[in-house]
Amino acid sequence: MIKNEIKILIVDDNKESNYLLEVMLKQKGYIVDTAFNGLEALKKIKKDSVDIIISDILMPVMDGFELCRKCKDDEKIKNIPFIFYTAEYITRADEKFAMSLGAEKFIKKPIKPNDFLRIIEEVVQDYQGGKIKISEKKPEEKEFIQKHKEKLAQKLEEKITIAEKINKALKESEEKYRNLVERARDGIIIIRKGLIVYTNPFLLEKFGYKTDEVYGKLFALFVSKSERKKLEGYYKKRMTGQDAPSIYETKLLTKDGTEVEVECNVGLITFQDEKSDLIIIRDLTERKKTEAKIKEYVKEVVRERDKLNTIIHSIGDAVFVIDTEHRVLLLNRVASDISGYTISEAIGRKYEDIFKFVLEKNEKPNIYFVDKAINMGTIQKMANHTIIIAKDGTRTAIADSAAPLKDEKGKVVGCVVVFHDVTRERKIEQMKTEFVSVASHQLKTPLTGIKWFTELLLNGRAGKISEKQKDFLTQISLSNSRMIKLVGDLLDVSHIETGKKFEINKTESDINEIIDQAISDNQNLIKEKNIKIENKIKEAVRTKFVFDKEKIRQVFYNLISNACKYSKNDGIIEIGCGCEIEKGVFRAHCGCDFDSEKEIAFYVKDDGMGIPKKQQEKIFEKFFRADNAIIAQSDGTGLGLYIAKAIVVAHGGSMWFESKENRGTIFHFSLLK
Amino acid sequence: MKQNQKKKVLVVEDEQPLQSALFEVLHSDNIQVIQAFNGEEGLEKAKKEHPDLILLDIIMPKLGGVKMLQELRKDAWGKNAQVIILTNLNVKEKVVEAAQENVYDFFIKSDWDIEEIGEKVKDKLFS
Repeated sequence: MIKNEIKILIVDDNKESNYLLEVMLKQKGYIVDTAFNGLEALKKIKKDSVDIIISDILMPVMDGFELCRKCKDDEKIKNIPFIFYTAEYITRADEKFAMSLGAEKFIKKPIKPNDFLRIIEEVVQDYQGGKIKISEKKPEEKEFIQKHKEKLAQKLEEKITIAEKINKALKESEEKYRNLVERARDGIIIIRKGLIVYTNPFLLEKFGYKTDEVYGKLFALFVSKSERKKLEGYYKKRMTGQDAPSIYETKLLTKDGTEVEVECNVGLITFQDEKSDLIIIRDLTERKKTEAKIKEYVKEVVRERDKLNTIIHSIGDAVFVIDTEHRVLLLNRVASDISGYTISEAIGRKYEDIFKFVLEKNEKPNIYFVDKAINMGTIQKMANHTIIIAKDGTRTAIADSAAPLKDEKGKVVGCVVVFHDVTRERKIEQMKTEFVSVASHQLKTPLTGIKWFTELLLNGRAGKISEKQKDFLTQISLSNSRMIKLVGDLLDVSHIETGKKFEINKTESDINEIIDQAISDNQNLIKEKNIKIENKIKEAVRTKFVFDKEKIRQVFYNLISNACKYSKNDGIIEIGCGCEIEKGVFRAHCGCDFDSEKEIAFYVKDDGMGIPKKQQEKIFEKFFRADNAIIAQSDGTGLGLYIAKAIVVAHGGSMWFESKENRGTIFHFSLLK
Repeated sequence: MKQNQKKKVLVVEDEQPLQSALFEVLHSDNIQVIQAFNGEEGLEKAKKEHPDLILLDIIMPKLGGVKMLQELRKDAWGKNAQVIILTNLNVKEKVVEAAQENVYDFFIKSDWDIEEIGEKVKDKLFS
């Protein structure tokens, strides 16, 4: 059969649907005509001959049901097969009603194209084979109208319900978006063909415009002149589908002409059915200010850091800083050189691994001063004779201190340790000691010569001498003795300070024996002032102890000598042991920590001039002499107490005193039992 | 014999005045004082004269007292020689160690009267 002889009329108000069917059927070789409603279709059917009618139901002017009825009512055309093709009337009742009007087929959308074409083919074959039988039975006019109205009303209701639902959803959605846009804290602007068609209130307020000053105006007018070309370029690129940044910075103008730096985020939208640019505008003023501030701050920090680094690296001493966890935060080149670790090796590591501070005598770690600085929050001195062991094992004698680092609230956050190489000082110290030692020997030799020859003269070895000559020679002898004593004291001080040649050789000895010697050595002074000496130790239960005989004799000698010098004529000096009477007072007074369980205390008490209260603190300092002592007695070097205390401390004991001006003084010292 | 009964004292001391003072208190009918002005001379005279007592200074030119003592102890006669150290240097331990047990006494010169030293020496020689 020849398809192109078959002419099919498609009736559908939907252009796309109409076109789709047309293309599909034409491809199969049918001749196709189209109509957009029932009335137009009816006119075409009556005017030209048509072989098959495919019709939608819901259409303006005249619907499919009406068209079908009109066709089947017309004798001339009633034999043309009528096919319903519908998306809306799809219930069984719809189909029943449609078929009752005399239609050949009722096809529900959607349907696969092949199935659709197969149905059409069947109808064509039936039509050509004369199989199409027109039902003579038609619904009555009245019945048709009623049923038709029912169908229409039902469909209308459905359509209205759907439309209402869509409208409501649309309204809600619009409201939601309007709210978002209106309340946004960013500026939102919509531009169509370069013209502003919408701005949100925030943007208007921010830039000081009213709606009518903006709407319908060219967006370019609100862009800073220097930026217009750039934005125009972006716009053109976007419109022609080229790559253009969707986020960029630019400058917009407020109503008073001030330029405001903003960030624009552009997106393409459909607004009122037309393609438009939606731009979200964010004010960058605050951000720029913050950025500038941060930049300035960073610069400042860098400047400060550089300054600090310069200072720290320029210091001749070694410096390092640790946190409370003992991790090294900072160190200078000197610290790096002495420790043997590079700055980068040391940073972040525990300082104990880098700066190995040990005591010179036993190489035991000396970290006490750093811990104390952190825990107590006060500056701490390194122990004397500390050395540092470098990475390669080199030992360097060092000295100095640790100071706590505190934050603004006073909380300790770390510690600064400063130290320096004292190798040179040690050498100088050693040289000094050797010098003093040799010098004192060299001084003593001629002094011994003077001493011996004066004695020989006094003893009459060079002949008989007069009383006056004897007196003069005695003066020479006394002066010479003082000189020898002074040289000896200086030598002792030098030994005490260097810690060398100041050795304690303990043996068990009778304390009374050495006290007697010390008294006897001071006999000249005692006689001169007619001083009475009472030694209470003579009555003591125990008199033998372990000590350095020579040195403790020196302690008693110095204390008795002082007591004599600062006593009045006929004064009384008491020597004793025990600390019962004044114990509490003395402890508090000089911070000594006398332990009667382990220690024995001795005292030398006088009823002399006493030590002025304000000078009591300095009494054990070397070369110190109280004002009243200087006035009363020119003799004295200020070394006696310094040496005596050093001897007692070297024995593991302590020395303390109580004194009242014009009432007298008691010196106590303790030795280990 | 009178000559044989006379005791010999060797004074090793580099200081002329001290030598003179010691000579003054020591020399007598029964004490012969031999003088040496450094360790080297002292060692030589000690080995030659075999003195009954040596008074020895420590710091001296050429050969110091400690060194001289060490050398002396190597000698057959010298190892039992009687020695009194007479010095101004407080290095007693060092000297005692060097002299072993045969040092009779140790005097710090400036601590002692010259007559007392004379007495000590006589005590040692004649007791």
